[in-house]
Amino acid sequence: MPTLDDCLGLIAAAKASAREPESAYVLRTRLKRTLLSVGQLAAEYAGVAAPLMPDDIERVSTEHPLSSRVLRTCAALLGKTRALCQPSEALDSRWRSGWQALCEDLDVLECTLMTFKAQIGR
Amino acid sequence: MNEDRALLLYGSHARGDADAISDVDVLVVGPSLPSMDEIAASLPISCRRHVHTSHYTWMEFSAMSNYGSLFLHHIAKEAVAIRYEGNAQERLSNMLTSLGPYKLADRDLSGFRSTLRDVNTALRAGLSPCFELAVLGGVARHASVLGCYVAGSPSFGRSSIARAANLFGMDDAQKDLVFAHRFRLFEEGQCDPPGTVSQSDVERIHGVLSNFLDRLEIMIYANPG
Repeated sequence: MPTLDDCLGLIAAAKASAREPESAYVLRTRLKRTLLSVGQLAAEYAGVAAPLMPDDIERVSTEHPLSSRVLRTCAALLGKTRALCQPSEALDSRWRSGWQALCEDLDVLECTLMTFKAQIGR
Repeated sequence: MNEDRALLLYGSHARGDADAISDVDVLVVGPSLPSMDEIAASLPISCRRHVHTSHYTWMEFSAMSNYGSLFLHHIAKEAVAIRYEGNAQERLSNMLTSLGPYKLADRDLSGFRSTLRDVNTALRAGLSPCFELAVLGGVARHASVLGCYVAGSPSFGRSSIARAANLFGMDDAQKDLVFAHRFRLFEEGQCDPPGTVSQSDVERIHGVLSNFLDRLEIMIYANPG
């Protein structure tokens, strides 16, 4: 199961690849990996079954407030990722123009995870 | 308001090789996307379930044609018209008939290799082998489509993996790469879990795919442009 530091590292890796416009293909996979890992971490913390694949995140249900917030953020990001980059065209010009919105959501996710880290640390 | 809009069927249903796990792939080119009900109503009754729609504006379509998008080569080769509105048929035809060769093979190869490095890192960190195998399956499919195109034998369906393996002289890799691609289909919700997988399985298939990309690289440099 991924650790919180693993998840923060994956977010950083996704952001780093976004600075290179040629790496949209890599970025898409990095984003999915990040969301899956964060989703697994949040599910484990809430004591519910962890998602096996990124799309499963939308089906994870918990009343744990912080995990629920993390999962909702992941699900929203996943939806945007899906809409932006369609499977038939791996390197889509639309991806680049939509990256800014995704990056803002990743910032939100990162902040939520930092809150998570602070709570776990207590 | 009159809008130039094209609706096309592509993928397995257009080729006629659809099976139980096939999506119905619909391409919409135009300023706006019709409702799903409207799209479904345009399709034969047998094609109204699991519809996946791709939508591009004319400007996006034109930008893709400038680099000879593989997706547009796919559309030019296999798509079947569902409906044209306004002047869409002529606009689409002009773009597809003047489509040049794909220009981004080097960039794609670089992306495939970076993705394989990421998978290695993820496996070492103990992240999900199931997801990482799906990632490898995606690369196998995309690399196969590119390999078939570069070799002058375009193939865009799931069978592209078998064809590319044959073209690369790697028939023995086919089973592993098809297995990995089943995880990709599972990830996309198109099939049930293909089975269990261990980290060592994924590492082995990673090695197979790495060799596959080496052959693809040779193919790209042997067939420039």
